[in-house]
Amino acid sequence: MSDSETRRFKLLRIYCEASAIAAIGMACVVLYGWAFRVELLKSVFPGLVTMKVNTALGLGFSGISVWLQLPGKSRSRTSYSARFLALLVVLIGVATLAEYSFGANLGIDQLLFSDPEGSSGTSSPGRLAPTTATAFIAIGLALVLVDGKTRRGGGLAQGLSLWSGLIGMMAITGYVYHATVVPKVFLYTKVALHTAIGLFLLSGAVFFVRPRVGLAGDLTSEGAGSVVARRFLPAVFLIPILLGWICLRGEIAGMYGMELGLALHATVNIAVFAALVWWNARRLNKEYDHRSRAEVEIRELNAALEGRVAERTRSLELLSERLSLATAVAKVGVWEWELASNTLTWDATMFEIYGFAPVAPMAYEKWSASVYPGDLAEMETKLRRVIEEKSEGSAEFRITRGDGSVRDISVAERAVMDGGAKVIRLIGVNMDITERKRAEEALEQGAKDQIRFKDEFLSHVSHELRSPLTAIKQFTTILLSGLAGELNKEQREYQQIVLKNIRQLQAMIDDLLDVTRAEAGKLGVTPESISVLDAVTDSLNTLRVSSEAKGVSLVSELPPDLPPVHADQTRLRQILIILLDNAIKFTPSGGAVRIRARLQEEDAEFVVLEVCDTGCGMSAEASERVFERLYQVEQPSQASRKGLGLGLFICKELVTRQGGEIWVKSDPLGGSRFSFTLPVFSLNRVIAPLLKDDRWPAESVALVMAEICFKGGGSADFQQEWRQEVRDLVQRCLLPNMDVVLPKMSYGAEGERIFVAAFADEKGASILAKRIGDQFECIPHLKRMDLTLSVTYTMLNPFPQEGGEPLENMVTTMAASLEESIKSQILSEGVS
Amino acid sequence: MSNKKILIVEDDADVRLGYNVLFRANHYDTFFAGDALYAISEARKCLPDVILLDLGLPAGDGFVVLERLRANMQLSMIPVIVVSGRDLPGNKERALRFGAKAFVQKPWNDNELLALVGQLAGQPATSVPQAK
Repeated sequence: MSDSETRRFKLLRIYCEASAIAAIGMACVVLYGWAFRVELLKSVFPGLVTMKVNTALGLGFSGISVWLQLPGKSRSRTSYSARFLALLVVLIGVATLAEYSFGANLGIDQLLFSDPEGSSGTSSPGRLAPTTATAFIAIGLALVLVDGKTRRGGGLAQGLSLWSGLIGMMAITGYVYHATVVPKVFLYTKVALHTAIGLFLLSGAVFFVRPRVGLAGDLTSEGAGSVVARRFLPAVFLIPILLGWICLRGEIAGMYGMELGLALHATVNIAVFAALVWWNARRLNKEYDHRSRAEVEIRELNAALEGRVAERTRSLELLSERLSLATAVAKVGVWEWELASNTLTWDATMFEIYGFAPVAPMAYEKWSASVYPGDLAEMETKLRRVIEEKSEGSAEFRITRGDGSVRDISVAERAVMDGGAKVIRLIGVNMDITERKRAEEALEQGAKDQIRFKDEFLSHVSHELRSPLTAIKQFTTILLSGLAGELNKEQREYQQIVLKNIRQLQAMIDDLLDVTRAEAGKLGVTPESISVLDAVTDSLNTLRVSSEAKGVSLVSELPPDLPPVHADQTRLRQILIILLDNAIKFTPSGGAVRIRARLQEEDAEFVVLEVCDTGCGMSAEASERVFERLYQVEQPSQASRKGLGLGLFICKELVTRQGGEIWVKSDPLGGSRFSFTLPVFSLNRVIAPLLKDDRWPAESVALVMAEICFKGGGSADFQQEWRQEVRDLVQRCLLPNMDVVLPKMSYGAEGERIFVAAFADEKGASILAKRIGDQFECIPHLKRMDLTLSVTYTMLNPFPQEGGEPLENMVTTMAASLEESIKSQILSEGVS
Repeated sequence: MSNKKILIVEDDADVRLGYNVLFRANHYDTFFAGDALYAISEARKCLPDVILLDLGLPAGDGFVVLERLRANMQLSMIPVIVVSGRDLPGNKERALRFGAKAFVQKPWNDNELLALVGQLAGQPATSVPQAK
C-alpha cells in the first residue's frame, strides 16, 4: 500500500470519526436547547426553523452507530448495539412518514419536550420534516446493511447514504440561496439548517465507513479512474453551488434578469469544467509521458540484461567447450550419478574409456557390472561414504571393458547437494591409468630385480671368495702346526701375520653377507636362553690377546644374579666382539674398556649391556650416524685399518632382530658408551611365536618332559658329558624343524629335565615318549652309568572348543606355570 | 685298533690336499670323491666311519648325495658332516633335515673340526631312524 493511499484512508477515518462526533454533539446541544428552551440552540438563527427533538435523537443515534461501526472497533456486542440504534433511526423516519401519509398524530413528536404551536416552517408541532424522515430511513437502513456479507450489501448501504446526503445538500443549498420555494413544494415542515449539515456529514461518514468496498472503493483506489474522480469531485460539489450563488447575487442586485443569469451560470460552469477537464488531461498526459519514458527505460534495461546474459552464456559455452576439449584430450571422462533415478550421465570420453556405445541416461547397474568383481564392494563402500559425509573422494579400481580387456581406472568424485543440504547427485571424473600403472609396476619390478640381483651377486661373490680363503687358511694352519716340517721363529711369526689377515678377510666376508641378509630381512637369529656372563667371558677371551698387545685393559663388571636372556648365542658374541673391538681400537694405550650389565631400571623385562671406553669420544653428529651403513668415524692416525664400516650397522640389525635397542652416549672427555638391551628369557617368548607359525599344522601340541637322574652321582665332567648325550638322543627323536626343545630348561646336581613342545596328538605323544625311552635302552653304556630316564607328557590342545579359552591365553598360562616351577628349581639349586 | 676311515667329498683339489694332510696327521685313513656320483660309489666301496660333504658339487649338489646315502640301508648309518661355504641360515636346517649330523661353515677351525669328526667317528653309529 502506497504512502498516499495510507494517508487517504487515515484521513477518511478521521473524517468519519469527526462527523460522528459532530452529529452526536449537535444532538446533545439541540436537546439541551429543548430542555432549557434556548431558542438559539434549537434553530441556529432566530426565526429559522428549529431542529426537532426526534431529529436530534435520530442524528445522535446515527452518529453513535457510525462510531461503533468504524473499522477495527466493531465487536459482536457493539455491532449489535449499532444495528439496534440504526433500527431506531429507521423507526423514527417510518413513524414520522406514516404520520404525514395518514394525517395522524401518533404522539411521538412531542414525547420528550413540547413544541409551541405555529413554530416557523413546522406543519405540526415537534414533527420533523418528511425529507428528514426519508433521510433517516435511508441512513438507518444503510447503517444496518453496512457490514452485509456481499459486496452488494456494501454498495446498497452507500447508495442509501447518497440519498440522505442529497437531501442534506439540497437543504443546505436552499439556505445558501435563501430559497423558500423548495420546502413549499412539499408544504410540510422545513429542514433545519443544522439538521441539513448533520445529515450531510453523516451521509458522508456512512458512505466512507467502509472505504474499500462498493462505491467508496471506486473513489479511494489507486486506479486512474479513482484518481480522476478524486480530482473532479470537490469541483463537482463546490463550483455549481458557488457559481449559482454568485449568479443569484447578481440577479438579486438587479444587474441582470433571471434568463441572463441562467445563461451566465451555464456558460461559466462550462468554462470552469472545460478548464478542469483540460488541466486534468494535461496532468494525465504528463503522467503517461513519464510512465512511457519509464517503460522505455525498463525495456532498454531489459535488453541490456539480456545482452549480458547472452554474453555470459556464450563465455560459459566457450568455457565448457574448452573444458570438454581439455578432458577429451587428457582422456578424462566426466560423469554424473543422479541418486533419485539411479542413472548415470556420461560424456563421450567415459564411453570411450569403458568401450560402450553411448546411451543417455544409463542405468547405474551397467557401470557396476563392468567393474572388476573384486573391486566393486570396496568402490561402492567408498561412494556411499562420500554420499553420507557429503564430501569428496578418490580411488582406483579395475574395469572389464566392453571388448573384454581389463583396465585400471582412477576416479575422483564429489557430492552435490540441493538447497536442503541433501545429496542429490555425485559428479566426478574417470581416467584410464592402465599405462601408468603398468609403468609403475615395471619400475617396481625392475627395482626388485635389481635388489635381488645385487643380493644374489653379493651372496655368490662372498661364497666364491670363501673357497680360496679356505685353502689359504688350511695350508697356513698346516704350516703353523708343523705338519710340513718345523718352522723357525721368523717363519712362524710371518705365518701368524698371514693367519691374522685371513681372519680379518673372513670377518669382512661375513659382514658383507650379514648386511646383504639384513637388507633382505633374512638375518637369521635363533634366540634361546643364554647366560650373559658366558657370552661376555667368551668374547673377552677372544679379544684378550689383541687388547693386551695394545696395552688396553679389559674390565668386566657383571652382577652375579643376572637372569638368562633370550638371544642368539653366536649373534650376542658377534655383537659383543664388534663393540669391544671398536672400543679397543679407539682407546689409547694404557686406557681401559669396561663391560657392564644390569637389569633395566624402567623395564625389568630387559637386560642392559654397556661397553665403555676411555677413548676420544665422538661428536653429536657421529653419535647419531654411527649406526648407519658404511659410516666411518674419523680415526686417530695410529689406527690401522678401517674395515668395511659395517660392524655397528650389523650390531643394530642384530640387536633389533632380537627385540632390543642399541644407542650410544658420548662424553668428549670420557670416551664413548655403547648400550644395548636384550629381553630377559621367558618361556612365553619361546612358545608364543612358535604357536603363531603356520608350520604348526597338527591339531594339538604335546609338552613332553624327559627327566634323567644320576643315581650314582659321579664327577661334574662326567655328568656334563652324558647330559649332552641325552639331549642329542632326545633331539634325534624329534621332527627336525618342527618340534622344539625348549632351551636350557633346567638342570642341576640331581638330574636334568628336558622339555619339548612337540606337534602330536595323544597317540603321537605316547609314541614319541616310548621312542625316547627305547633309544635310551639302545645305548648300553648309559645304562651302565646308572642313569635312569623317565619320559612323561601332557597334552596342550591349542585349538580349544568353541567358547573355550583362547589359545594364546592358554599358552601363556601354561608357560607361566612352567616358568614358575623352573625358577623355583633353579633357585633351590642356587641355594644348594 | 685300526685307523678310522674318513670319506672327503670336495671338488676343490687344493682343499682336498689340505684335508689329506690334516687327517692323515691325525691318524685317519682318507678317501676322496670330487663329485656327487663318485661320492656314493666311493662310500659303498670304503664304508667310511664319517663323511665330510661339500654342498657345491659337480653332477648334483650335496643334498642329492645326502638323499642317496639315506636311501641306502648300509650307508644311512654313516654320520655326515656338511662343510660348506654357503650361507648358514637355511642351508644348515636343510642339511640337518636331510640327515646330516652337523654343519660346519668354511673356513673352519681345524681343532673344532677334528673334535667333531672324532666324536662322530669314534662312537658307534647309533642307527636312529629319522622321525618323519
